[in-house]
Amino acid sequence: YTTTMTATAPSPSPAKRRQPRSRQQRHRHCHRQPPRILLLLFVFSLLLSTHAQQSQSNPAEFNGGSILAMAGRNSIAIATDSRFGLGFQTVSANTNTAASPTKRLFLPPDTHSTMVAWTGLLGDGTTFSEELSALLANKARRAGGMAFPNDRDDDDDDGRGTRRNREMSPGAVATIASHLLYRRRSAPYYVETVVAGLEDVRVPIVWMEEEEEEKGQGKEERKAESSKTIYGDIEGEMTNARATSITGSDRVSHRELPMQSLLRTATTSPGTPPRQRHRHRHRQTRTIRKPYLCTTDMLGARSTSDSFVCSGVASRSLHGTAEALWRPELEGEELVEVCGKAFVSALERDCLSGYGAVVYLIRAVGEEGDVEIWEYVLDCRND
Amino acid sequence: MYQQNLDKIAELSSHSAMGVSGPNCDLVNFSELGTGLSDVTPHLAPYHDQCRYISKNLALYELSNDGMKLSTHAQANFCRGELAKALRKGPFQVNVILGGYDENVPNGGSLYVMDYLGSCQKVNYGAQGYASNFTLSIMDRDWEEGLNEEQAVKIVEHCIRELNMRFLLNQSNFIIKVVDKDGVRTVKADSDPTDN
Repeated sequence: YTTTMTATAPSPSPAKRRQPRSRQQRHRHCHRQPPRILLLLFVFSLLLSTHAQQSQSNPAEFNGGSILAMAGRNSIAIATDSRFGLGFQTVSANTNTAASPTKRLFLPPDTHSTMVAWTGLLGDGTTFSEELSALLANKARRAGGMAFPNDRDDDDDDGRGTRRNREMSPGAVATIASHLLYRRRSAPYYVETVVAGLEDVRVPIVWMEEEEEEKGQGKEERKAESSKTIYGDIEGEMTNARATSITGSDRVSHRELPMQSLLRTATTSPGTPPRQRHRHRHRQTRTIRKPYLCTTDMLGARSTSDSFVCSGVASRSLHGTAEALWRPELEGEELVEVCGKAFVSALERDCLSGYGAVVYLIRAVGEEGDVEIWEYVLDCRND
Repeated sequence: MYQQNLDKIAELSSHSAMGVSGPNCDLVNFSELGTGLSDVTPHLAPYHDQCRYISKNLALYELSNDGMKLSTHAQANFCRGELAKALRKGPFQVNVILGGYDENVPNGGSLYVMDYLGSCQKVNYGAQGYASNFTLSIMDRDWEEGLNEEQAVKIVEHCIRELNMRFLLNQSNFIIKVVDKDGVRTVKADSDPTDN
């Protein structure tokens, strides 16, 4: 027998069709099913495939908005757009200025170098940011009340000083944000957050400048290796670094160098005066400010990165542009430019984001770990 | 059509007013639209007493805090918080525009647009419901910084004319209220809300 695929004529309605009797008829009956199913699937996919149409019913994309955060040398740039809409309709374009009460990007209380930003449903996001701020302020208040009046000790094991001087690290803020989101597991907040900041990291001090130059070759090799992976093995490097400091060796080993080269601070003299060396045999460490980037999804699953994170309706495009334009060791205005360019070019292709872009630059200056935050307002297409 | 003269703009406090749009039960429950209704349907008075949630809570704050009035910004945040809290329990399906006058705010007046999902935006002009499709573009064009009351009312009247002309489901009765340093007053009412 021949099997015929009738791709055009739709089969008769199921109520009227009877079970085919002969084997030949049954075979043909089976073959006639797929085209109808394919047709239905095709129609459904047309209906649901357009991103914009899906956004009308998807709470996470209903209000629009996107965020991109990029890491550079001792600095972070976060870009966010200003559109607030109800589906296709744009309601306002001043989401992130000082005038608007709901900011998609804010500085949590008691942190000087962390910024939290979110995309998604505006109502849920505002509630979430209020909850997060209240929780952090509460913690800070409780911690401050229990502090003992010690001076900050530079020779501290922990290196963080007393509680009073300690601020919450961006990793901790990200963890808290993730827990807050997971608390609502049954009825989640339609919010995807981005936490970006500079965290203090202990790193052994490089004593000799000659050794640095000598091992310059090794430095470059290591740098190339570690910058190949986007999600670098920070923990591995950290434990290596700490291990060498505990053994009390004054010499610089190869394994310490990658950290040094990627994460140099603004300190000019790598070596401290010899008297300190005599005082403390081991634990010659100093603190550097390392960029920390983390994004969470709606339920609080965190993912961190060394290079960039993005979130929001334009995140697909943002992944592409940021991947293409990011390079390591960006700093200052250059970082802002790269981040802004990647951000704006992705936004231009997305109808649910845009109407103004603001880039914040968090930058560590000086030795004390002071942090400056600069705001840059960019022009972009208003459509 | 049940009623042609429902006044949907509730006076929250002496210097702020809130316009609500949505199903009537939620409207009345959420704001204080029970004011006129108690006169009209006295047998439903106990029900209406429960229906003034936002305005009575604001009045309570004033009473418990030595006569300190909440600013428009604070009222808007409170309103948004209530909408957000109710969202996952039993949502008020009301879309709200809240406007008020504060002395220490640069321009004096501030306007907040909220929707039933709990989002709140401070805007220069706003519209909720089907009207927004027609009127937002008119206001985009006509609004500018530093309008006085007369010009603002003219823009609103322009919007109303546009709706009369272009909107299929249009109702022809509109009420225009103004909030300024002297409080809330009705500028124009096409039909008397207290009519039976």
